[in-house]
Amino acid sequence: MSAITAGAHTEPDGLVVTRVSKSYGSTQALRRLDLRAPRGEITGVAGPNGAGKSTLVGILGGELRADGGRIAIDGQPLGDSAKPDRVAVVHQEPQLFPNLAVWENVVVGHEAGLWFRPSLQEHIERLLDDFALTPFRDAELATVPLAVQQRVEIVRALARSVQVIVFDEPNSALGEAESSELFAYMRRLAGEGRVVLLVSHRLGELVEHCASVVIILDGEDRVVLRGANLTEKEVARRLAGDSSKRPAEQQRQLRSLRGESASKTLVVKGSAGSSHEKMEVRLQPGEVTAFVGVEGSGARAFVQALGASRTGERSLRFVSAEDAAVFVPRVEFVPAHRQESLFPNLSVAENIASRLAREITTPAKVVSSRRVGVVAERARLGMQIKVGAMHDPIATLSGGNQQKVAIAAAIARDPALLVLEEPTRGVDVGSRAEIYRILTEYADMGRTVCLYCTEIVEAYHAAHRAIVFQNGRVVADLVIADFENVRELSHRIVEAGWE
Amino acid sequence: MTESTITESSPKRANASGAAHAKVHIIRDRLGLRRAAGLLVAIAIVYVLIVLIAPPDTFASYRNTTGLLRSMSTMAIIALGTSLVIVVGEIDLSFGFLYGLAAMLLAVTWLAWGWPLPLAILAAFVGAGIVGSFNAFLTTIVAIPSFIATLGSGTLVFGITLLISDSRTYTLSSVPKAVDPATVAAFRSISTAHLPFNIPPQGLWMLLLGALFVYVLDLSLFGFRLKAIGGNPKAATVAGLPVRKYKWAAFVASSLMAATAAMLDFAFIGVAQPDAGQTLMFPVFAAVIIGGASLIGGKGSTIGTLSGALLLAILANAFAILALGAYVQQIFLGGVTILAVAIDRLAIRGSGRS
Repeated sequence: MSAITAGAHTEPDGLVVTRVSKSYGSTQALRRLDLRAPRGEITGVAGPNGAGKSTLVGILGGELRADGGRIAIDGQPLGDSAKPDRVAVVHQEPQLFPNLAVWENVVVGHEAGLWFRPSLQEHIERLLDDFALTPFRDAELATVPLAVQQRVEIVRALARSVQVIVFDEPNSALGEAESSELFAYMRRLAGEGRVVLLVSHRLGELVEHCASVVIILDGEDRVVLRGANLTEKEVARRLAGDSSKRPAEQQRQLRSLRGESASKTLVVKGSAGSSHEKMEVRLQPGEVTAFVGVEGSGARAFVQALGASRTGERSLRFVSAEDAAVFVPRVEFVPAHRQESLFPNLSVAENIASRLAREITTPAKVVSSRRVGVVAERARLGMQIKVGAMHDPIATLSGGNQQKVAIAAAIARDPALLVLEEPTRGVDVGSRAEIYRILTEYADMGRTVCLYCTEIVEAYHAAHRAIVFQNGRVVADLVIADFENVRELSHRIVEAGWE
Repeated sequence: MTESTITESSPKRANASGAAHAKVHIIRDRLGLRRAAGLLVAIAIVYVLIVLIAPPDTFASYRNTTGLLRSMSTMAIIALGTSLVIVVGEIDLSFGFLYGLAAMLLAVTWLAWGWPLPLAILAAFVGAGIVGSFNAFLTTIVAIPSFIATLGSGTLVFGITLLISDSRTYTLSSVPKAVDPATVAAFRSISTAHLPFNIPPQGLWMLLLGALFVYVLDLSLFGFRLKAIGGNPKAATVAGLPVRKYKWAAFVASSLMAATAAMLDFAFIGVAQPDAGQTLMFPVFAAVIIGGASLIGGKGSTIGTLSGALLLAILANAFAILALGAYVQQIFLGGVTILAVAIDRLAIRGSGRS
């Protein structure tokens, strides 16, 4: 049955997902989803926020159980207890054992013997060598870079002879060189006859590396693009849905958040991270400033230090450009990892209100349900957060919507300086655009917005200025409007010493 | 974001969303009634069953019911304090020893050293506050896991208790001549005063403190933030919540409640022993956990905790009446606690994302 709907005449090789459904309470995450991923090629999966991508990955990886439907690999149903471990997922955040050595991470769970501490076997050693992991073999996992950790996840899958490997936004935290390296590995895995699934929000990569791309909208597979149809434009068109619509009324309400008038130019002085270099950065109210640089360039450390200054960290000093007075602006920070910005035990509304005090309480310091509701509802409308009910647990939201909640919680405090570390990490195209819009509008109110991004294209779309870091120093300070397109901007940034 | 902007924008919002969202009360089950509903049903069933089994005029009698209220009060009062520590994501194993320390501080300073009673009571609470602060210091500043920090501080406290009391037991029936019998009577009356309807004073204290904790844990901003910190301390730090201060407050509250329970019991029983509180360790945790608090932090309610204590008190009382022997009670206590947590786990698995 499944084979026929999938359009093949014989029982197809590879991964076949047939009419898989899954709901969380009142939210239907997947509706009778069909998907085919043959061996030997990379199959892409794209979809906006909340479309059901994470749910699909969760079901394939065995973390979630489908409500109905069938998943088969080479005709054999998944979940067959006789053959566990047939699907491996390489996550955005590697799900490994940070306290074990790299090689131990590869063998843990399927050690050769039960009695003794496992030893490193020859075929594992070969695999490690294949993936350039030999230099890291004995290092504790937590100490190696993210890209290396992801390769450990791949090798761990290969050591178990896994036939289906799902890459879930694998390079959202990688630099460009690391990304292309990862794609080379992915092509090799496919070339060796495995099923490789790539879930990504980066259209260019999907088009470049995938033989076909499945578009998922609202939990359903809408269309499969391949061959001549598989262009960046076409994927974007199919994905766009209606997320770009935005009633003027809501726009106006977000504007009504406008508070006191613009504050003065900030000069930030000090050193950040491991760098002892003294630096000075000027931040303009009303602007979004992007701090750009690869891992280790100091850009991330600087943005983190900016964010940490809200809690009284003293590595940076804020000085007014006009009168050289030292002062501490109201800073709010949204870290890159949602595990560090959200409260899993609280509802969506409570998360949005989590940084507030006076605004959500009565004079007797009782938290007012109505006031929390007002704050949360305003954020939902202004940020187009897709949610079943505001009192639902935060975990029922998709990644992109969770990120919007995290940003909403920071904005609710109305900070003079809003600092975000990779604000669109693991977020799809539609929500990315919305997040950029939210940040620009917030800056329009005379606030200062700073973000760290790993991608030049993000700086181009989100920011007014880009400050480029290299080796712990500022190497360029660029006005985005001076550049006609992303290519010009990246050309200039590379010239300035990117990588 | 003032009150006026909120009310001003309400009608607009209702129009924009096309529904009366603005009126919706967003925080569900803040008193924990929904979460404790299963437990309350269980208590009712257990109660009816025991009434049916027990000899007439024993378990359901008025006298026994007031006795039940009194006997649950010690466990419940300590559990209220412990629930704050558990909600903030820590654990306090020192309260049993602190119970002994507070009672002995009071007894020694008052009876042996001849301090005035109010000063002796103050000494007991200050001592408890210091131990609570010490626990918080070890946990938040030295960053020792609270399990081991409070296990250590508890044992240390027990040593100090033995030292200052010289391992003696103090009784209020034979006080030194220097102590005014009227003061002794006044002290005892906090737990033995005759109240209308024979309500035990300790039960009343428990209810008053329970009402205070409904405010502190379930309604106030403090409680909301305590849950946020317990749910994700890292995010709480990023959000600028005063994590250390709140943890300190939880540890100190836990210690003060243990001292309160110790004082009320001393007044009621008239005997203070250095090792008195140590048998309370498991029942108190069981009450908090049966009451629906999560040991990983972020969840718990006052009504849940009090219900947990009530269930355990009913069971203990029934075993005594039915004369089933001590082993049955221990087996039941362990079994009921595991069962309560297991049911909760299964309920969580049944709903929502992993």
